[in-house]
Order: sequence, then structure tokens, then C-alpha cells
Amino acid sequence: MPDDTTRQLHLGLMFWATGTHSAGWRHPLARADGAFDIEFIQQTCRDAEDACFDFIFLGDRLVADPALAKTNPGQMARLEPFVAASAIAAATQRVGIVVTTNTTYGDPFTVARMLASLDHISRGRASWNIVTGADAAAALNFSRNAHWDNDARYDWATTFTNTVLGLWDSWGDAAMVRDGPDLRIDPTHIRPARTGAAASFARSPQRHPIILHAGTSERSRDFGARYADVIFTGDARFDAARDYYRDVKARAAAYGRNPADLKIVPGLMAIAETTTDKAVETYDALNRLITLDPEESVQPPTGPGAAQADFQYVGLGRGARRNLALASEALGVDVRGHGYDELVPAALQDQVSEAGRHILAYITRLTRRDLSSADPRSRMTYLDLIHGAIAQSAAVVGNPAEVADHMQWWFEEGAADGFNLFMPFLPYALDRFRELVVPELQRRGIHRRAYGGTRLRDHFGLAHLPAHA
Amino acid sequence: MPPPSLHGTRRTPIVGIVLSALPVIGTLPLPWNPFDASATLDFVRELEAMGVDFIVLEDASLDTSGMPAGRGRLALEALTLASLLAVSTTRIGIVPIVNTNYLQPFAVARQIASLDHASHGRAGWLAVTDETGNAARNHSMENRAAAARETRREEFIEVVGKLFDSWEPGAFVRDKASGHFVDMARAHFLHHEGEAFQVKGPLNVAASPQGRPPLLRAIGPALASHPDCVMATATGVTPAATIEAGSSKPAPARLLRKVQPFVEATRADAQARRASRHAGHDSHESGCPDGSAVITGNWPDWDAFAGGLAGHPQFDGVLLSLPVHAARDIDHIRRLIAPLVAPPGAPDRAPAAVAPTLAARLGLQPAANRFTRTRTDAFSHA
Repeated sequence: MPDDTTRQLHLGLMFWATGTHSAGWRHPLARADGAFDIEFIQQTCRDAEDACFDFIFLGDRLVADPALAKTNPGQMARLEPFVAASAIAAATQRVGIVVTTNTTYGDPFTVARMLASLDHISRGRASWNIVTGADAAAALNFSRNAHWDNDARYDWATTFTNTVLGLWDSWGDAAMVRDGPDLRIDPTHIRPARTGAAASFARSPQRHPIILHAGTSERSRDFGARYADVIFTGDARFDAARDYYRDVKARAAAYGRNPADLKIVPGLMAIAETTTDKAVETYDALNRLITLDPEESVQPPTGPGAAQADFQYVGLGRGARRNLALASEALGVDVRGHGYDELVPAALQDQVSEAGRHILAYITRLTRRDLSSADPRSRMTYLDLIHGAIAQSAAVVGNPAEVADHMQWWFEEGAADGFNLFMPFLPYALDRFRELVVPELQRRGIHRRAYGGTRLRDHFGLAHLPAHA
Repeated sequence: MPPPSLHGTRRTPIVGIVLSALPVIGTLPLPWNPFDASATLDFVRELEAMGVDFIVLEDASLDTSGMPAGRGRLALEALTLASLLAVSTTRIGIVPIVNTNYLQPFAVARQIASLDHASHGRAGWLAVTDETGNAARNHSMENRAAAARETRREEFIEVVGKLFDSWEPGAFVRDKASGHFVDMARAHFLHHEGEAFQVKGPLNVAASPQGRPPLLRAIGPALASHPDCVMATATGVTPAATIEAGSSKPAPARLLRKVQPFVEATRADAQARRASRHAGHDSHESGCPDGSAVITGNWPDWDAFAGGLAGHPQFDGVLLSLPVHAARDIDHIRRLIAPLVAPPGAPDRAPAAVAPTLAARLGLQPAANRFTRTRTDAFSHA
């Protein structure tokens, strides 16, 4: 491991205006209508900057499916990420800004210009999250017959990325020079990228905005190890996260890179309160706001009118059907037919699958409820099983020390270089994290008290790219 | 004197200014740094303070193959810059140029709608179809014939207009008590299956403040007597057929004359300045690529032109595309627009009197969502 006395966490804010918990927007303290409120977005990002976060993460999808209202309301409709990013850049000074683009439906010439422009506008805080598109339905909005398969998408993403890098390198350091009071272009220091096009923009402050990538497929691991500065991951389990961390760092080394220059940043939903009980109370309150499906419901759930079925064109994952039938599948044992408030018997522990044991452990870790406590209030209910089966992200619930302990564990035991923090609802959960957890992390010496530089590259401790002609 | 109406009866000429991409000629000194967003923002704030109605953000997406030889056009990418300007100003309209040859309507519709949200209703877009030998190749495409580009543009505009309407206002109900986040009866598919584009929809942006932000486009071929005009409408309001049907402008549109002014203290100076442009940056025409009326003269000549424009019923205003030497000269611009923004008896342009949206500022009717408008009929059987 690198020197733990100086190594610092890299913290990002996964920005979903309605929060990352599927029912977060319904919490009494949540802003439900912030997705198109630019002042709210700017204020949230200033708050993250006050807490010395490394970056704001702006995701993107290319379809608006009302079915997402159930699982990911913050993803159904939101501002186009470059518009949001420039607005955030105008409101902040230091925090990095990650913009997601889907290479499958983009063109490298445009994307290179937009990122370089954002890097100019933000004075070196731009970052590019490369996705190839999980939503097959995007094809239907972009005049395509069909979504490409995984290999075709990664083939094109590789060509795309090389083209963008070529355009970013098109202008040498001396291509635009100050000459007394004058600014001049020296065309001999501008060369075409391999597509034949030269860039129409000056080298931006970082030259190469920081590249992010996410994914677990073979192609995505390889792509990330080769091109990414930061990899965003999503596994909820420590062992799996550590294995992934080792695998991708080893791949980076095989590409001749210093593994320390590739940062692994898992997602983490964090609920912090002054006490453990209050934190669990907040977590439970959020889960109780999830609208459950009838037990006999079929997949996909149908709503009023035929139009709704037509809208169901996005894969919704485990959260699509929320009942004991889902819990039964997830746990590997039939738990249907029970009342939601009934206590789950201890015998279930020996009946569930291995995946089921992880879900039970997850529920216990977050709710502090188990299958064997004498106090019924500390016993898991069937409703807990449903919520545990729905949950898909790494999460921590607790007092400041407990949340910090969890982060420090992953950070120091080889599973993370930092976290992309999922705030279940805004602004409250971020406020609590800033007030309670950030000072604790700073006291432990693993989170900066002030930014050391002005560029995102500085926050990640990555060297500035060397000058070239 | 009547107060300025929010729509329909605007008296003073509309003034738009093109923020040109900077043409580069060899190693001549650059008159401004096109990548300095702060300087550009300061400039735009000055334009806003002096009453300019909107700016058009020119892009540098076209021919870049000449850069290694010292010929090209430099600008920050228009949409990215537009958002910075939008959140850093309060009244001026922000109109990026969109080249419909290379983009997809879904991508553009969400950008412009997002810009409209970020600017609280001050976004517009200018749809162009420019082509150079290398532009298409930059975008991994083949060159298209002019007619095909026009056809594509019209379909592009149609699709963007439908996407703007694909969520009715208020569709996102976000009712915490019931858990009802969105009212799907107010979401609409396009199922557009056209020659150039196939788009299912709906857009992934909620209805923006203006609904369908204003669209500007050159209409030279359609108005033979005025080949140098830009027409402004709400997106999707005026089908091209209506424009071509007659030589007078269609009622819901605003017509702006594109003007490139070479105005100096004397006519001789102005002529010399215009003549010398071929030695410098202006050899690449600045401003709207479809061509502008070039006005060359002294200040009385300009005031006479401006006065004539104000009294000309055909025109609602100007879109100024400044020669490079004057493009960032704020005093020069102030003098140019003085007779336009404050002719005798004109309504006050102090901030309180300025309309809040770009559409209103252009004197356009608010763009009602087509589904909301027809809702009673369309859904009475649902």
C-alpha cells in the first residue's frame, strides 16, 4: 500500500437531484424538484466543495422512461450534463466536474471540443466519464435500428477515445503564445489528429481532462486499465470490491502504468446521523417510503393504460418488482405469504443461498437487526428482506465514527482509493455528511482540510502532463 | 407611450449580436483570446447592460483542416460556453448556432431545453446547414448536397419541436404523499420515422420555461427581396411552406436583417477598413455564414440606416455581425446600437421593463405545448 500517512481519500458526489435512494425524494426533508433548478444544483456543488470533495459526478442516460420513476427518478429526466457542468463551473472554484458521455451515440470531434471547452471554462477541472450505453433503447432516439453489442460498443469506444486524445494533443504547447501584448498562433505547432482533423481549440489547462470509466465486463476492465485515471465501481461487498481493485490495478501495471495513478472509487450510499439509532431511523424511514408491488404482481408491472407498457423499455434490475416474490428469488428460499411485520425466524439463516447470506448480512449491517436477538425490536422482519433484496449499492448507515470506520476499512485494506458518495436525498443527507463525517475523516488524517491545487489532476495527485512540441 | 408588451407589439428594433468565432490568419496577432471564458463573459455582460436583446454563439465546428497551415476559426464550443453565460447573466438571450448536418435532434433538443432551464427562459437556437470540404469528415460523414442539407434541417427542426413538447408542463408532479412522481398521461412519444431521423422520444428533460425556445434561421432563398435575413419563431411554429407561399413574412415570425457594419469617423476610413479586411482576419467572413448586408459609411450614414430600419415595417430588428477589428470593441458597439435601442420615443429598456424570456423579448407569442392545447380532445376517451 502507499504511505497511509499521506494518502488521502478521493471523494465524489454522485449528483442525482432527487437523491440516490429510490424513495429519497419523498422524504419530508428532501428537495423533490431540484433536477431543473440550476441554483439548487449550484448550491449543492458549492456545499460539496466546502467539504473539499474531489469531484461532482454527473451521470447521463439517453432515454426518458417513466418506469425509471420507480427505481431511479433522478435519472429519468435531468439537465444535459455539459449544460449542468458549465453552470457548476461558474459557481465553484476548485471541485472537479465529471461529465458522462455515451460514445455509442456521440461523435469524438464534438465531445473533444466540449470537454476541452469545459476544461478552459473551469480552469482545469473537467473530467470525462466514458460510457458505452447500457440502455439499448437509446438507439430509438438516435435514428439507429439497433443498439450495438458489447464488443462493437467497446471497439468504437476505443477508436473514439484515441481520436479524442489525438485532438487534445493536436496543439503543442507553443501553438498559442503570448508575444508582448499580442497573442499569436504558431501553426507549425498544430498537427492533425489521425483522423486528418486538427483541433480548433487551444490546449486546455489539463490538456487531457481526467478520464473515468466504470464497468465489470472483461472489455470494460481492460478499457479502464488502459485509458482511465479513475474507475468507478459498484459492488456492495468488500471481498468483491477488493478483488476488483487488485484485478484492475494489475491490468494497469500490465499496460506499463503505475497502478497508483489509477484510482478506484466505489459508489457508497452514506447515511450519517449523530447516533446509530438516528441513522437507522433515517434509513428505515426512507425504505418505508418505497412503494411496494402487490404480491401477485407479474413482471413487468402494469399501470393504467397501454401507454405505460409502451414506456417500459429500460431494464430496471432488481428494483423493478418489490415484494416477497423478489425477496424469495434473491434469497434462494420461498418467503412468500408472510406478513411484512412478522419477525423472520432464525432458521432462515441456514435455508438461504450464499447470495442470500450476503443479503442478510447486508440488512444486519445497515439496520442492526438480526435473526436471533431476544429483543423483537432488534429482529429482522419480512419487510427488511424486501428492502435488502431491492438494495443494489454499497451502503453505510451509522454515527460519524461508524461511517468513517467503514470508509477507512475499504480505503486501507485495498478495496478503494476513495468513494463516489450516493446521497439518498438532498440536501439533508449531504449536509449531515459534511457536518458529521467530513470532520471525522479530517481528524483521522485521510481527507484534506483544504485543496492543494486548482486542477482536478491535482486533487487526484496526478502529474501534469509533460510539455510537448 | 405604451409599456412594452410581453408579446406581439414590440416597437423598438430587436438587436442581436453575433459572438463570432475568431478567424485565424497565419501568425497575425489575435485581437482577443477566444478561449478566455471570463473575458467573453465580461463582454457579454456589457452587451446585456447596454440593452442588446440576444447573442448568437458561433461555433468552430466546421473546417479545421487549415489549422496546421494557419487558417481556421477559433471558439469555445457553443453549448458549453452558452451555459456559463446563461447562469452569469440575467436578461440577455443566449442563442447557440446548431449545425443540423452533423448532430442528432435528440441531443440538440435536450441541450437547448437544458439551456432554457439554466437561463430561466432565455435560450434560443440558430439552425444552420453550412458545409465545407472538411467539416463532414470531421464528423465521420459524407458531404451532402445543399438540397439534402436543407431537407435534413427542416426535418431536424420538426423533430426538435416535437421533442420540446414531449413532456407537457407539470408532467412531473413529484407528489411526496402519494409517491406519484410523474403523470404519464402528460408524456408523449414522437414515433418519428422520417427520411433523416427516426426518434421515439420522449425527451429526457422536463418542459422548459419557454416550452419551445425560439428558433432562428436564415431564410434567404424564400424571401427574394431580402436575401440577408434571419427569421425568428418559436420552434416549430411556422412551416417552411408558409414562408415560401408569399414574400411577406408570416405573422408569428420576426424578421431580423443581418448586417455587417464597417462604420468609421469618415466614409474614406470605412472604405479603407473594408478594403483592408482581405489582408487580415476578415478575409474569412465573420458572423452568420449565410451572408450579411455590409454597411460601409460614417456615423451619420449608420444613424440614417438605423433610423430607416426602425421605420421599416418589414424588419423587426438586426443581427449584427461585427468585423473582427471591432468585434470586442464595446465602445464601438455601444455607438452602433445607440440609435437602435434608444430611438426617440422608444420604450424604456431599463431592466424592469425588459421582458423575462427571449420569446417575449423578440415579441413572439408564448409557445403553447401542442398536447396541452389539444388535450381535451385527445384524451377525452382515455
